[in-house]
Amino acid sequence: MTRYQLAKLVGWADTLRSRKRLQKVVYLLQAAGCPLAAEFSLHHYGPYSEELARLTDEMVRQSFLAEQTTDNSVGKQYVYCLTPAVSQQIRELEATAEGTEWAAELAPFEAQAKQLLKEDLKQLEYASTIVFFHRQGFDWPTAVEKAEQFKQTPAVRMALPLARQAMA
Amino acid sequence: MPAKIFRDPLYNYISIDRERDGWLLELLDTPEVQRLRRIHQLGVSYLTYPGADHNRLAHSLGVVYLMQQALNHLQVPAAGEHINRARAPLLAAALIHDVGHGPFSHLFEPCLGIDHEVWSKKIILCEDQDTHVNRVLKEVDPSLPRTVADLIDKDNVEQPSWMRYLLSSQLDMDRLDYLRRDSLFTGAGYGHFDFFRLLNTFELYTSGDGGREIVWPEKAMLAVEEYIFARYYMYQNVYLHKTTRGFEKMLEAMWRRARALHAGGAKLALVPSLRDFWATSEPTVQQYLRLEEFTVLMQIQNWTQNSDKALSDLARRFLARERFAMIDPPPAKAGLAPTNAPWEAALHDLVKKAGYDPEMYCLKDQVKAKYNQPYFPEKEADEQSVKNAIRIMVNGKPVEVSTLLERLKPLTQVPVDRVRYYIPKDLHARAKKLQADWR
Repeated sequence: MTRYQLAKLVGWADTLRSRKRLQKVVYLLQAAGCPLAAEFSLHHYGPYSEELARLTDEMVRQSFLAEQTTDNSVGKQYVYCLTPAVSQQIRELEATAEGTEWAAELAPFEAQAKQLLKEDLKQLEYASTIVFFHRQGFDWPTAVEKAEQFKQTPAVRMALPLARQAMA
Repeated sequence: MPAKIFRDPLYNYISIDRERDGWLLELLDTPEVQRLRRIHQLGVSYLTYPGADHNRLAHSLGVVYLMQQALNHLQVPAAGEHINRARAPLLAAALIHDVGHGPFSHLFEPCLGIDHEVWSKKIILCEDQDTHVNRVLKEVDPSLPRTVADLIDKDNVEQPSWMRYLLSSQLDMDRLDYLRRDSLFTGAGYGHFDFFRLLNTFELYTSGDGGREIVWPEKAMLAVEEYIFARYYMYQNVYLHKTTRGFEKMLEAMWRRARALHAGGAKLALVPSLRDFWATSEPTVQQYLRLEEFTVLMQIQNWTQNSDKALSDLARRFLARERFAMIDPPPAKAGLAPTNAPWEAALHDLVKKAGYDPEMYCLKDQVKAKYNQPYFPEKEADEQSVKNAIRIMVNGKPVEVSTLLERLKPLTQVPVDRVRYYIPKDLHARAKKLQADWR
């Protein structure tokens, strides 16, 4: 995944709450065919990409993204938005030939991304876990079973519509 | 004699009980496992560190030893049936987790287009041909091959999480062995840490949603810190050493060239095992296992006489240890779009004008950030697991270790991907000037 792509995604969110949300939305968009290159593996809370986590922190360090923290019951949660300077950079980049191409690659996924970015966090976690098993070659019912077994809760199946929608 | 003893430079004695674990000795004696004696643990690092001649078999035995200790530790508080049941699969997985490695370990994966984990599973499950490993495991228990293959597969969730994490996580038996072993044999004294404390203090923690994780108590915190520093230093000084990486890139370029020439019908004097491997798009397990380091070296020796100038030159350089010079690109300007391409093009041009083919003589090494800084914990507690964090129990809750120790912060701050280039030494001065003058 490139800096430009991550900046666009955060821009679509306006304020992106939680690194978990970022991880799962990128995964689901990737599964839907969005050209976001990042390697995911299955962690306890669903698909996770170390590359994506690093890219996020790198962009905070270089002042492309602003990061704030809030406290929740588990610990710290992170919130991101674009810095004013980077919004301008996106506009300038998209005025170039290369940038126009990059924007065109992401444009078809904007509506889906915005919808996913508003979804409940737990549902995103469950949906992305179901999709993970589905992408391993299991049909939807088996993917749901495996996700339920993995997360040890039947609540996972509530996220099946979201999982299917993401891959529709 | 009740036990088979192996002398080991790290652990002194590695003991396997013939009566209880005789099957493990049979597994060790299989041709597939014995092949690991002929695979260098550190690929071509011996070209940098002459002592780095240790092999994957010694490492695998070391992981067996550590797994034995870990299981003994878990059995102390409560000899649960789940620990007893886990014993055979974990010891087997410890011994054969690397059985699918190709010649020169990870180095050859891009050359051959392989993933050693995929081959390990094929060898264990014996998907197309019979393997001795599969036979021995099936004799212990018909389901054992599948269980072991599942444990080795990082995305498989069929086995209990704590079992998988003992073999593969941020602090696992594999890492505990290779960091210290590689430090010992290279002579690079960075891989020292109190492994005994780590091995004898870890706990199994059950989180609120039923997940079972490996954590450490506060009293082990400094040992964890030491481990993280050791890991960082070993990556910087050994695994990412510029000379080693340069030879790895040289070997990759040589192999790419050979492959292209072969596809074009050129005569390459292929050794039989490579000829058979390249003759098919779906090599069998046995064809794969016949690829060994001595066959690769024989092949490179053959190529020193090849009519293709670049191929014969790289083959000669590799065998003569005639390394390329390393050059860093100029500092990248921060921006949303990558900025390295123009400088890279200029470097290619410099190499071309000197009469070299940039494809073979201007080699790019993109070191992924995860190797530049091997421990990069996830910050958000809601996304942390043993796969992306090492956690310490504080007041009954797991807390990621770098949040407790400020000294670790510089090691866990995010680095960028690092890019290095390798070119013939006679071009180094010109390339340095290009780098210094670049705007």
